Amino acid sequence: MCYKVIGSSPAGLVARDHYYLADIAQNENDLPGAETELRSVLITEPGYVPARLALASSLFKSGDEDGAQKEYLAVLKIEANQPQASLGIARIELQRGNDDAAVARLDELLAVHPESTAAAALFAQVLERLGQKDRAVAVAQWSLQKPESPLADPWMAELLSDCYDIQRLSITFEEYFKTGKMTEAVPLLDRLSELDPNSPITKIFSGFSHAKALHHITAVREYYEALGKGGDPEKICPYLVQSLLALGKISEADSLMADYYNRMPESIPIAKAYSEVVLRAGNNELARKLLTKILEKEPYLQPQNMSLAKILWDSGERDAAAKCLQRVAAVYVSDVPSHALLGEYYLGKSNPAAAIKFLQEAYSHAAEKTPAQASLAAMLGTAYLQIGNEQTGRGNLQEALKSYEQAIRFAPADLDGYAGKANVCVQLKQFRGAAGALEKLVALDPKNPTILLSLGDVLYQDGKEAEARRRWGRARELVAVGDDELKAALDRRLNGPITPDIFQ
Amino acid sequence: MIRNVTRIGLAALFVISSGVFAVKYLTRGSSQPGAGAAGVVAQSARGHGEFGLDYFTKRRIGNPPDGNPWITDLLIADLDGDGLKDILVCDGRRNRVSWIRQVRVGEFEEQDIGDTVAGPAHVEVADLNGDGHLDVLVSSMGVIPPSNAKTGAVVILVNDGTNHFTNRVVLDNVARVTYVAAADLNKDGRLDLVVGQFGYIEGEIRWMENLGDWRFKNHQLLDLPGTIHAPVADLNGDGNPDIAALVSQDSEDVYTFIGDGAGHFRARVVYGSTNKDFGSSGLCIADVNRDGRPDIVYTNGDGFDYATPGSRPWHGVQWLENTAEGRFVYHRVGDFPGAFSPVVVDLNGDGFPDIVASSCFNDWNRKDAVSLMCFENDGAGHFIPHILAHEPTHLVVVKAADLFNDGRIELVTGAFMFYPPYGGASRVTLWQPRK
Repeated sequence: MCYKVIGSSPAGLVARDHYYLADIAQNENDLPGAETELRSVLITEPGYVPARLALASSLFKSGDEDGAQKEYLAVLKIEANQPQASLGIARIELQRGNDDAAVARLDELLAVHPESTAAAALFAQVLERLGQKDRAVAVAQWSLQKPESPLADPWMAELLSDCYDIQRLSITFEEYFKTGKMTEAVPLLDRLSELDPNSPITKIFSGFSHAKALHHITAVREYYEALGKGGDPEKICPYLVQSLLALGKISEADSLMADYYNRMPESIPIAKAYSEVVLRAGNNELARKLLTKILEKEPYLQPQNMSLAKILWDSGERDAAAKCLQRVAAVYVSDVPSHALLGEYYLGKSNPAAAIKFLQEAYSHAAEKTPAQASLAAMLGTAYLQIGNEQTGRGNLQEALKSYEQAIRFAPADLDGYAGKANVCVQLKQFRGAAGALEKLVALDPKNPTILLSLGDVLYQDGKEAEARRRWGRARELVAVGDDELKAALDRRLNGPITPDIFQ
Repeated sequence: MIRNVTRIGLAALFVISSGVFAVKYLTRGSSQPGAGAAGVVAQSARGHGEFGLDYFTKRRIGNPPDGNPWITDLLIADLDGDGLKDILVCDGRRNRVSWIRQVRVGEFEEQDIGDTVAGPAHVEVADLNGDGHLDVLVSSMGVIPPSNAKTGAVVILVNDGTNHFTNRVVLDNVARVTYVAAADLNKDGRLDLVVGQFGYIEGEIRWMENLGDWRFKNHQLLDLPGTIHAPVADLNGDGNPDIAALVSQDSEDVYTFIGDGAGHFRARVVYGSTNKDFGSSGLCIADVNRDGRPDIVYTNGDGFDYATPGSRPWHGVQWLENTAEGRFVYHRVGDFPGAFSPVVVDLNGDGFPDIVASSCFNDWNRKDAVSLMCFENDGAGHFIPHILAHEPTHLVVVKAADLFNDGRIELVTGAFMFYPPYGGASRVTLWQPRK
């Protein structure tokens, strides 16, 4: 209304007025109105990038791809590689099915603006669709960094400095906060407090800001004030607890949450915050009760399942712990701890096939060359060894051989895998394979005469008599005093006629 | 204003750290009961009652709530083919899909069907395997709080025809699935699937070509997160199925995917809000102006994406008029704080399709906050708002159908009680016209 009055005056509306009118129109979903105003802005201020980007966005959202592209290209003429314009064009190209152009554009955009998380998120999806899985994963990780700063918009910033719109101030604060621009965020917070001194929201925001800066003492004070002003305990307490715990004030957090839990016994957020405190306090009995109650209502929560699983596991209730772990594993395919513990659980239950299913998953998601991955490999080796032994016992020698080979793959320093493989190979008359496994065993345990005897035996049966005799000779040198049985076996091979029964 | 693709509300920070549930990242039910692909609206043969608070009587159906209910979606369908319409329920708190079966006219009994489904968000029915029995298609988010983990799945509860349902997963380890529906998209005689994956930073829309014997081939349609609904209809009248999708999160856009009948689709944004906090919440397809072309009706009222959950002045209902040129023209139907789940139905039997919507995110501290609303179509392009109810509150979904085969339209609502004040807990409520 005011703008209408100004517009009818001789001076009329200036570009900024049209810009603000466009913003009002956009908020009222009046895209044609916004377009008209934005075009008016650009008549006198053709280089004001935020206005041109807003026009491009309005056109795109009105279904006018061509118009939007024209405006985005105009922005790129003003500012080469402007990230929002490049991203906008990439979206249009994707919409037109021009993947190659979009990929090239996004690639270039990220090279120039690595902070463009929006572009990275889109690019990751495109790459995944195009089958470039590894690169897609890397770019997806890239997209998870801190969001890029909002577009610099001096005209809107000036408006905000004299703004009475609490919602708009809150949203803008939010953007600055998330992108770490606290210098810009804090004055908005002050203004919000000034405009709405009784609102708990500004206190919550303030608490967040201070907690983020690790000023937990102030954060705690702000959170308490937010509660005092009627703020929602379900929202505030989890954060208040975090700051109290960061300050080591466990008993204060404990009594606070006990009080809220008594008042709101059905509240999941309160129970979750309370369980965190009692876990930190080492009160496993109460933690168990709280976590059980939480999980009855929300069975797939990861941290709560894992915490309860730990309590149960440590107290020897592994079957109950496994149920928690299975819930986590069911929905978090890449969660390593739950899969690893389930693998261990099934190994303990002598169910190596079930163990392998979880261990393989954990192994594939564990960080490369870490102690965790090494431990998973060792467990996988054990599981495959168990399967190999089972299959050997059942006479399924080919299956057993595959399992021993997997056991060796995951635990190459473990003697048992090679021994199992050699044994199965001999039964399958695959003497070369048996010799290979025994050679590895010799390398791992070079002074073991029994292994050397066995190696000599399989080499002989593979037609390599000279090599066989060399190994038997070496074994004879290594036989311990008093091991007459082994000594006799070797002497028979070295001195007597070799008949097939000798290898039985 | 330019959007940040990775933007999440500060409220989502609550979610990330505390696991508090984010309705922003839920799907909201809004498939059009009575409206098939052609967008024919359900009509009431009689009624003509004056809309208002006393237009309906309400009663709870199904099991009573256990704590604050988290109903995420409802569907009205005659699941067992006994001639009586039943109600399917997605219960996010219990991770179950249940069947409120109409055993006799007006009598309902609830039972769980199939095994658990992690984070059920949307439900549809279709005879997917062509055995003559309706199977239940469930969108599984896996985990409901915002997550980029590939926890989504499409789960079919396969109906053996004896009221016994068995879970069959046809898609898993993908970004959180918020929508699935069946349609023969390539006209090969088999029902394919349209799948919307809200995801978080990553999400997508795909269609899954049914190759038979429960084998599907994936075809990606959109690389953006935030899909809420993606119903199928012939939008351009060429006889081929098209898709309309509401994509929120970073975009707040309505897309159409125009099909050629052979499984190829051309994507286009037909309308989008430039207000990044618009809060898109639900979409359905129906012929609002009775010109023979299916229009798009959608709500914006998702209020979780704010520091304190609740309504915003711009929340409401709109329709996109499908013009002969294949373009869609925006019309605001009316304001409605926290609006969700648009349903187009001729509620008063005057021949003009009205629009009903529920509210999940109103200011429930106020006694006059509205939870159920009807926008009466006067037939001249105007919609007159009528308040139908102030309670129960937190209504995330409303569906409409002639449940009792008497020519009158009943409503069924589901409550998602996420933020206080909770008031009287309501899970599933049946609304019957008094007259």
